[in-house]
Amino acid sequence: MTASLLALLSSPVAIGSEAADFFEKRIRPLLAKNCFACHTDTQMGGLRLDARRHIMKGGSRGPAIKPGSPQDSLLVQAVMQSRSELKMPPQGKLSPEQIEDLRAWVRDGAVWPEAQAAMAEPEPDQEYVIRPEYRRFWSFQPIRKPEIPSLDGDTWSRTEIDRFILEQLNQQGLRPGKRASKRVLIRRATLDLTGLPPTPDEVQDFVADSSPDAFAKVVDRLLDSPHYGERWGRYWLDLARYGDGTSSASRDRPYPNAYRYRDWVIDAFNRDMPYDRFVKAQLAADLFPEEGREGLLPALGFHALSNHDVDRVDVTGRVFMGLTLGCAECHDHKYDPIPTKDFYSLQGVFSSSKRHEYSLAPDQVVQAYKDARKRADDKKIEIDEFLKRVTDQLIDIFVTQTADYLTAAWRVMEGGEETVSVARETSLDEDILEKWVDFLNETDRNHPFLDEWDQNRRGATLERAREMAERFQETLLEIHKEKRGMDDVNYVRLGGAKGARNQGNLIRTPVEFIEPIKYYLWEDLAIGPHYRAGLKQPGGVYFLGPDEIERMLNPAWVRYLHRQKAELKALEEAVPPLYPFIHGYRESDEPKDLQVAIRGDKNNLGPVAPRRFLRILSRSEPRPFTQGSGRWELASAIASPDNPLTARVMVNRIWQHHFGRGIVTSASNFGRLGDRPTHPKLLDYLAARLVESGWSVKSVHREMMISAAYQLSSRMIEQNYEHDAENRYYWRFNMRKRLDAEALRDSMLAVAGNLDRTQGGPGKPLDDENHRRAVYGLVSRTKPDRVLMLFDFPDARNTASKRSVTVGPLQRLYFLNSSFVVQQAERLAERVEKEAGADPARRIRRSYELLYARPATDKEVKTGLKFLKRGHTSWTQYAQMLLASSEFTAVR
Amino acid sequence: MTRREVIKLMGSGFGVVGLAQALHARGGSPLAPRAPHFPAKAKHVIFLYLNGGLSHVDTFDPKPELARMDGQPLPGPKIKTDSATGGLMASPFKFRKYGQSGIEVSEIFPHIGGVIDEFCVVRSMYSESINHLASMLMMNTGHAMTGSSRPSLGSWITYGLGSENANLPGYVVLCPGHPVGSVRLWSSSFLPTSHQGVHIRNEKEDPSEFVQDIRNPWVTRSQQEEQIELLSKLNDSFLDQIGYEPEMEAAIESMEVAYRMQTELPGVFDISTEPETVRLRYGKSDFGRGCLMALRLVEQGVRIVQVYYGDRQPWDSHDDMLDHRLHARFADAPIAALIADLKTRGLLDETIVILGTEFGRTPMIQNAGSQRTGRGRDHNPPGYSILLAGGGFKGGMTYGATDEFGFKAVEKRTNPHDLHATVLHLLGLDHTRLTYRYSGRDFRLTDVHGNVLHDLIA
Repeated sequence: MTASLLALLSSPVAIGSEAADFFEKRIRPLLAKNCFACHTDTQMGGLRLDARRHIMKGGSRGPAIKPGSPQDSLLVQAVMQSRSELKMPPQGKLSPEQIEDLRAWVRDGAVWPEAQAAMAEPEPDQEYVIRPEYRRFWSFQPIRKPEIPSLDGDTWSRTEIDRFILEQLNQQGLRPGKRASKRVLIRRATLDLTGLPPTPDEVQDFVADSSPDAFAKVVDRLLDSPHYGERWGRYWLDLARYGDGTSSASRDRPYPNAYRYRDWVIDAFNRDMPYDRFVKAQLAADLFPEEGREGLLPALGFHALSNHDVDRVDVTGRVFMGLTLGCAECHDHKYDPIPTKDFYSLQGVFSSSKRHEYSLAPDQVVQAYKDARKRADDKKIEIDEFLKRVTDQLIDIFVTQTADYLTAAWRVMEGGEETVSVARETSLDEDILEKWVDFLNETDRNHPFLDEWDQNRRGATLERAREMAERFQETLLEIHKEKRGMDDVNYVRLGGAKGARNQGNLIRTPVEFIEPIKYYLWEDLAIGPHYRAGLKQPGGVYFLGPDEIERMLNPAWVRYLHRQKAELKALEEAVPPLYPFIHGYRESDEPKDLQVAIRGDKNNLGPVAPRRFLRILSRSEPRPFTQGSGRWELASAIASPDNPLTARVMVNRIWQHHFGRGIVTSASNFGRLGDRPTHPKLLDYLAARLVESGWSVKSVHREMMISAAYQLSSRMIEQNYEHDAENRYYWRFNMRKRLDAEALRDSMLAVAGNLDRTQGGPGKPLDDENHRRAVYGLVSRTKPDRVLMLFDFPDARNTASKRSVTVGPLQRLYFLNSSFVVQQAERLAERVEKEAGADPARRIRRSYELLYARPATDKEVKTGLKFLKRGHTSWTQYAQMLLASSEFTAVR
Repeated sequence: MTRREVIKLMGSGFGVVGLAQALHARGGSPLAPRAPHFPAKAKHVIFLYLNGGLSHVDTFDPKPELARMDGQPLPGPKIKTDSATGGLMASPFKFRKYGQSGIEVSEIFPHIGGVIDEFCVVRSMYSESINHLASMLMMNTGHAMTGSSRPSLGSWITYGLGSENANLPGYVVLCPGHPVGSVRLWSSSFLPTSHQGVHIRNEKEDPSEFVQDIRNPWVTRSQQEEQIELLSKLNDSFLDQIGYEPEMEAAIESMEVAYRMQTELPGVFDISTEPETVRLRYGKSDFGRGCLMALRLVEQGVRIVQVYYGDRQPWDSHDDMLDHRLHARFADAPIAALIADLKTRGLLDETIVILGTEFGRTPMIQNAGSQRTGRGRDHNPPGYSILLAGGGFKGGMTYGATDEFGFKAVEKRTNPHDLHATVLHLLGLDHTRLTYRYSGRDFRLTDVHGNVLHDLIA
């Protein structure tokens, strides 16, 4: 009998102290550290690992262990990571010793001393408790700068970053590839930091510079370029879900000063604003001490420009801390230690703040604008009301002339007379008479009042027609009287002129109606042009538009109307341009705590959630905020070196954009459902460096880029690819198969010599004539720019932590056929002619330097010459294909 | 996806898709066809959308009680509606039994009545939001929050299945103008943008105006062919420099596809190539042309086509129910013609046809917001009807019921999540398994909701 069978027979209760000791010393801590975060209350995969019975019951895949038989136990298989679909723990492999301990423990019967085994099952109505094991989750651990690995015979590493990378490459049996060529490198770095390709001179300088810090010099130059902020600020704007207006049903309600936030972000990156200050400003710029607040207020646009106020807690969580706080709105977060109450603690902070326009103009300027605006609006109302009164009066009059018009129309229709002469003879209005004739010629009516006329007009005598017309007029007069009476009643009911202009009041006040068929008749005669059920309807026969009406007015009235209109025009012209202001927030007058909305239902309120910071990120029970809304305290708690998430999340974002994948690939989710860091020590090292440097983002860029890892070639290495196809361990540089939307557009403009480098200012649509950088384009949430969308520009209603990169035929159509690309090709062709002269070969070589940062090979020159020699193909067509080629649109 | 993963997928019955196309799926075309979770009954979807809010009590859910109690208040506590409403109102339209099933249909839809045996009339739809935008987002994206966005039904479908014709977009949206919500209704949101619906303004007459950049007026056809040849040489030279890189190779292939698309795409929209006898049955309205284009697109392998009735919200008859008759004149015949032609062309079995809307209209009159006839109805999310045909749906049946006044769905209550789950099911997709990881969590069209309505499936 083997030892394992013996162990199996022994009951878990009757355990020797040796086995119990082994469990408590080796196994329980191992489980607690590596497994409990996901496999206690949250039961990921349906599995709990905090009691033997739970383990025996197992999860969705069945029992987690088979005592005595480690090779058949899922738990052991999982930690050995022998099966591709089941690898645990997700943050990395346990050490060989730990795996051996687990195997031994299972082999020996999985002894679990029951006396100490029970962890309290959660009581239903119990206050949420942050358990110690929750705090053990990797991302909630304090950031500690790890020791730098020292590796024998390491000739590859240039920086500390490389030692962390190489350590893991070695562990995986991978060898890093070669360094990229200088031309590849400068193109990569320049696009990376500025979103524009390097100029041929910049390439030449770098190639010629043989000093050891040649590349570092390039990086420093690029970090000093104003284009750096335009590139990296845009990444931040993705996170901030930046838009120039809120989306409503069919168009944006504009935020006319949104660009001030965009420009502030760009400027903050360019000036290397310390990241903690950058964070704080976006949440609470208005609460900085007066003397330190200079220029910070636009930062409030982070939330003030959102599409909707509901996402503030969630976006704050995701963007700054990689926490999906929104998941806790209706119930305690299912995976992370965030109780619903914490959600409402933060929601209370935001709801105790309110949107506010910070005017950038002196009070009298603001007042002058408002006064002038009001004067023009009032004048407009005055004119409209005058026109309405006159129109009503005219209709009252025309209605009494209906029999005359009808009879006259009969003479035209049946008597064959000319409208002009009949009108002249009867002193009726010729236009109205014409409208009558047209109207009577159509017989598709939804009322019966003209039935007699329609049926009998043909073949009738003038007298008979006159009789019918008189009868019709009588009916019409009655209906008209009834309608006018009803309108008066409703007018009073709506609250007079002011009430009738208020849309909300209009749809909520029940009014009275005349009978539908009567209404249809009245509509045919008296209503102005309007939409009926989405279809455009012309005006009624008696309705005269504001211009037509003048011919009915006597000269005194016309003079009055003209003067009024002239005054309106003058008043409109006198309205000064909208004064500049900042879209922001300020404290509300009475900050107050919110109650938890149970299951998100605002009608079912639970306990009060005091405004305070998240419990999982506080050492003990967090103290309630005491200063106003608490926004300042919240911002300070987030932008604190003690916050384990803030620095880690930011350095990971920077890493992601430089290296093509994050150390944590779910860049805005550092919770349990997010991914685990591939290089936890490196992440902590970088986070510590960020804080150490005084939160200098530029210093982080620099350190990353001068590493050997960043400078690797992107070339395939078959042996490595077999083992790590995704390049999780950075044995090569991750090639980008396509530039993102903005870099693509900007680069085309740049190489064509067409880029307008003006910085800042209001956003304008990115049409063909707009040659500024795409970051300055107008960002509509309702109708986003078509071309940007085609190249995966994110939806500006949601925060986006990375761009998807799709390549599809519709994008290719853009390169083949769009006027923008053809225009840039034209300019490019002109530019190389100017710069390289008449010789076609020299022009081709110049093009390659401009677009690809390298000289053309002889074969490539030949190919180009051959294309151009066809006779019917042009330089523009050649240049267009250079722009469409993968070498231009990819980064290696 | 890695090369090894692709090869593994193929080994595990990735289906008919060849290596080239599998590689294509990785880089070149995210729309290459993918196998469903289980055998599918349907391959395509045509979603006809009567935007504005089709009144169920005046079309597909007759309520004699409304005539009996015309003018009297709806029994029970006062209901909160979007605008002020008054008493119950009889339908101005008569109903008649049609087909073998004897399903009652309003007089304004006689042609639909003629094919009613192909339809399953779901009379127990309900949703939560009182306004158009939120309700349209719910119907199209399964998510009624107007502040954020989620991928649309069509995007999820092409994400799940790809499309059959690499030369055409997988998801086409036809609308003359913009319905309320516009691009949000067909947004791919956080899914890759290639799954976004391609909006085509079908009120235009020239098919070459439908798709942006479909023609290059500055070059001749033979010049462009030479350009393509040059480009492939440029790209080959790039591939030589970078070495073996399957993703790049695949990306480059898509240029060939684009070139072919130029010729194929305008042709599909060019309905003048249909015989006049066919065209006449669809009428001359934008919606009629849209229905005919939908037929042709599905014939060419497009996965999902949505046809919106019109700009803004035409069916939003707040002030006069007779406006429904006006629109029915344009909508009735083409819907019936589409069903008939799908059937003749052997496509109805594999094409799901949804005739939907965002909500119904109140049994009560709306007595505010206009001073016209006062014979309109307000929005009614608690109960409304939609029609389903083809693609594995049972025909000639009704499902569920509203209360005696048509106010609220009471029997077999069905919401848009259930509809979505069922449509995905017929397409061979399990709505609980069709997920996408965004911001660290798995999202699905039906969120945590949705029941497949097996009763409706033949």
